[in-house]
Amino acid sequence: MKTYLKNLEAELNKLRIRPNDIKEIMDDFKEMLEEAQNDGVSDDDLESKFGNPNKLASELYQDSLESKIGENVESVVLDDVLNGYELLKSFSVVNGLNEVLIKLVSEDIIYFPSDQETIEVFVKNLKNENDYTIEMRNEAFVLERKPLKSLVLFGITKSPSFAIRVPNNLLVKLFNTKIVSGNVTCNQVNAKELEISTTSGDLQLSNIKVDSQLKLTSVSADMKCTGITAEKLVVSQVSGDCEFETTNIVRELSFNTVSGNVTLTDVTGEHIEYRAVSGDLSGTEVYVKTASVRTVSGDFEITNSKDGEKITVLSKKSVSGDVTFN
Amino acid sequence: MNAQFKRGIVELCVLSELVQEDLYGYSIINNISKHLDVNENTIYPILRRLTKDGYFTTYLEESNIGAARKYYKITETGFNYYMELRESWDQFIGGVYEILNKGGKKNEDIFKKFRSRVE
Repeated sequence: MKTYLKNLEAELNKLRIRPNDIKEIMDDFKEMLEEAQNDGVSDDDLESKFGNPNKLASELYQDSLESKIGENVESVVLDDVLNGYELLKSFSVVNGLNEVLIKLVSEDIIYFPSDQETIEVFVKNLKNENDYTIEMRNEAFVLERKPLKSLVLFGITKSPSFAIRVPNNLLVKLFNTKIVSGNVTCNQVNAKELEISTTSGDLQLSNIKVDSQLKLTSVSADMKCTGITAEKLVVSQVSGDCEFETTNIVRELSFNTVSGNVTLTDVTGEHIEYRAVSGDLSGTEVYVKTASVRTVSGDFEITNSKDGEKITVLSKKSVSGDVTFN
Repeated sequence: MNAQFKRGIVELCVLSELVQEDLYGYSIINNISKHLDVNENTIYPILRRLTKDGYFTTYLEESNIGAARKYYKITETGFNYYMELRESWDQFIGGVYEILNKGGKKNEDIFKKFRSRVE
């Protein structure tokens, strides 16, 4: 029993678990082992009952990491982004990338720039690296969840979170992300074409530059975007809301929503195409030349303080929604 | 079997033990290890984890042998979590059995079927 306790304590110390936690764990084990002894469990059987000290320590270590982290990565302060993450893989990139392809299920993902010359993939809560494909394939960076072979069907385990750190101003031809329930945070993307689709995971984009089309699709996810430049913006959503701030679109902004609302602040473009069932669009400082509105009960309202050219409404169809310009 | 999957099962078992009554560490481990080989997925870290997550609280109680025992008590959140897991588990295992039973419920039936196809 003493050997077992000694081994366990040594393993815990090796992993530099917090002293308070170690003390608590050791107290628990002293109590439990004593009970076991009174129960007639021999020293040789301790491992089969309680587990091997090394394995125990590493499981406890994983848990202590998770509890240190705190659940929210709400505001992306770069130094804090990687808190609790471990570096998993890194790839060198010389010029740009043909493609960034991310296909995940319930994993959260953060994409952000740094001064490094490499793409680095960080992760936390990763249980099995083999569940994912993470590789460079024909100048494309691929992060993909492999089809499930095993039986982890119910929500017992926490999904891992990925953080991808890329070189500052890395140019990507096609940035393509598909995710079901994980949250996506992108802090700087410089792409020819960008497409993100989520089902229920929220989307947070900032500092995005797209040469051609920026396409965002979601079912119930909320989107928050600031600092967006693109030639064309296409948003389609069902019940999630979206918010755009400081956004410059060269040609058209197109919104297709069922019940989700659209909020625009400080947005410029050529034309707005708005289609909604019951979702409202409300804009302040939205400077576009033309607009087309088709809703059932959704309202469309734009309030501008500067006197500029009036917005010309090319077509307007609505059952009970109001279209107003102030 | 997949380690993650097993961990889930052990988690469910720990919750289930405590749904019935308050227990101390060793008794939980002992009860479960009687039925399952838990060497690979150790119980204590799960117990600790669930306590930290607010599914259990602990209190000390004197015992007639040795030092005081730390008892674990399930909370309301813990109970709800248990119901959720239990539900997914029932659904999952129900589905598995439906598939398995298509070939027959008893080994003899399955074997007979197999033989008749092979011959």
